[in-house]
Amino acid sequence: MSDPIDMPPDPAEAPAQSGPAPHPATPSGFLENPLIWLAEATGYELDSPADEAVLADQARRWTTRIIIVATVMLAVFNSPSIQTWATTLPPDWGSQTVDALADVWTQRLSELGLDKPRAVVHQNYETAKQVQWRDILRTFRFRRDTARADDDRQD
Amino acid sequence: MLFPTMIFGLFFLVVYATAWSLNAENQRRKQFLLLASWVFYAWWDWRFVGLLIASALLNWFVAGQIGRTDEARRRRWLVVLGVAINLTILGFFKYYGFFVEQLGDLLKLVGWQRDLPLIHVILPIGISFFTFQGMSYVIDVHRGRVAPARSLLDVMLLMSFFPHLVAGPIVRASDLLPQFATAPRLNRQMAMHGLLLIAWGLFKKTVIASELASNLVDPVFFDPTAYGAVDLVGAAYGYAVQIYCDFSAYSDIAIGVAALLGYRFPRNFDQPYRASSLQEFWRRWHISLSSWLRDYLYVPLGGNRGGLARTCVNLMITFLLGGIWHGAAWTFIAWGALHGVVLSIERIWWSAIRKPNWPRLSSTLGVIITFNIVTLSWILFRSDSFATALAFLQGLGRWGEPGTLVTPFIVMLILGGLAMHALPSRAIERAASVLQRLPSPAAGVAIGLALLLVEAIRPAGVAPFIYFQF
Repeated sequence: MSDPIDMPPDPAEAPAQSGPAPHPATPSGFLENPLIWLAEATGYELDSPADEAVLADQARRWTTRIIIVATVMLAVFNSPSIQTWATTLPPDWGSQTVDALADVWTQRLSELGLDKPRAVVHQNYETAKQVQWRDILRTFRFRRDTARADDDRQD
Repeated sequence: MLFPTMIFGLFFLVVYATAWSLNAENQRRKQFLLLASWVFYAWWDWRFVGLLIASALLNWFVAGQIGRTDEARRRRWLVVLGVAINLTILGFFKYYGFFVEQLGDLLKLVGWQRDLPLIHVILPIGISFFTFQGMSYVIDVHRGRVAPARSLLDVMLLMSFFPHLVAGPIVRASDLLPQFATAPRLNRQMAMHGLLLIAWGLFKKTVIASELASNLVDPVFFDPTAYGAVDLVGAAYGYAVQIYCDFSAYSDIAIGVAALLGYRFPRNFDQPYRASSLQEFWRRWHISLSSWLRDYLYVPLGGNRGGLARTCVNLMITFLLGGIWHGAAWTFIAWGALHGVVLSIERIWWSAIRKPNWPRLSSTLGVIITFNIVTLSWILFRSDSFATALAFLQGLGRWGEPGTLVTPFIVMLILGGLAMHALPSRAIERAASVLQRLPSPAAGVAIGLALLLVEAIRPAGVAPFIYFQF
């Protein structure tokens, strides 16, 4: 039985596989690192950021931005969950404040229609959960009968 | 504090931001992570933080003493002392009530009834994991596989680090102590792998495991006599999928959270229902426990070095103890015994009965047989008593009654849980390799969408992970 370390090796162990991918001179590369983007777009040669600490620092900033973007998306499009969570907190000054803020936040985003995508997915998923075997059979029979009727009409 | 909750999300954001802001000072970073781990543990019951500290202190002290002496006899005594301390802690909190109850029944049977000191001991969450971790540290120091930690802080953090604290993986000192020596460094592959594991783990736990538990498995196992064979068969396969999605989700999230903090944990699951033998199953299921049992129990007992009969005895002992590790109940012991018996039969078949010219079982047939044996054993594992397990097995003959709980949606969840085993090996790592090339806003949107999808379809509320009780 082996006990593999599943995470990929760190930069010191495998420099060829680690570190950020090169930044192509594309508009998205600008968001990553404007200086490198500018250098690549103009053909100017920068010193290679070979230092592992620099690479690790860039990776950390990259990860932090991902977490921020994902958190903002959840806060905006998943506000009903925040509201539900706030109502489950034990009642005290802090939790009531959180509850009131969550209510206002959810209401405002609902006015903008930003709760719709989640609601649509949720509703469709709940509908799928309610499907019974007889519904599938009914659909199957309906399709078969329709196909037969089409065949009869063509004959 | 459960992983798939808002409060853990907020807790993690604070820990992530603070830990990386302290990265220039590794000592302070570790102190902060230790404090955060205690807060995480205290969320359940602050009283047991003291137990966690005492356990780490004792293991640090014993390992330090072992490292300071060259005298073999003294080293042996010290390692025995270290193991005994850990087993005493585990035995008291986890098995005291069970053993006193069994002793009382035994005395009653021989007509010598006594009032035994039966006290209600609260089971500290994760105790099986951190005591096994402590034991492996002391034994590894004794064997010379790992040097005693230089600081108490490292041992405290090794045993208390919140991602693995309550349900593993059982991370050994040789895995984690070297990582504590210097400030960790993140790379894109590691970070993306961590984020994907967290999203994947949340999906498995909150969508598949929770739905199967509340809509199929829990009602059927509560009263198997109330259901026909269709529901019972569905519940048996449903539980096989539920326990995999539940436990592997915890491991995935733990590995992912640790990765985002810059630490590597060992893999704990490797598509276990793809195994074509029970031996292979245990190489893929709860790898950190099976390798622990192999290294610290099966091999010291003699492993497969003493002939076929001795190997079978060693397997039985290992799996009986593996069964009781899961909980103080006869059903867990029987579950372990069943695995021990089937593993012994496999060994006998391979080495004594099967002739070289006999046809081999095709690997597909092997997978089907192994999966069904494992599923059958899960019935014992899930049942709260032998009576429930027996009622469940008897009910498998009631084919006349229509299924009430096995809906198309439930079947889809079960098939979905099994289909995960057909994914290419290391699929998450491969996806991480691709996604790590994205610029951060695009990667953030991808992760955000994945989390939103899970949030939109998950049921409200979440049950604790199954392995929390162990």
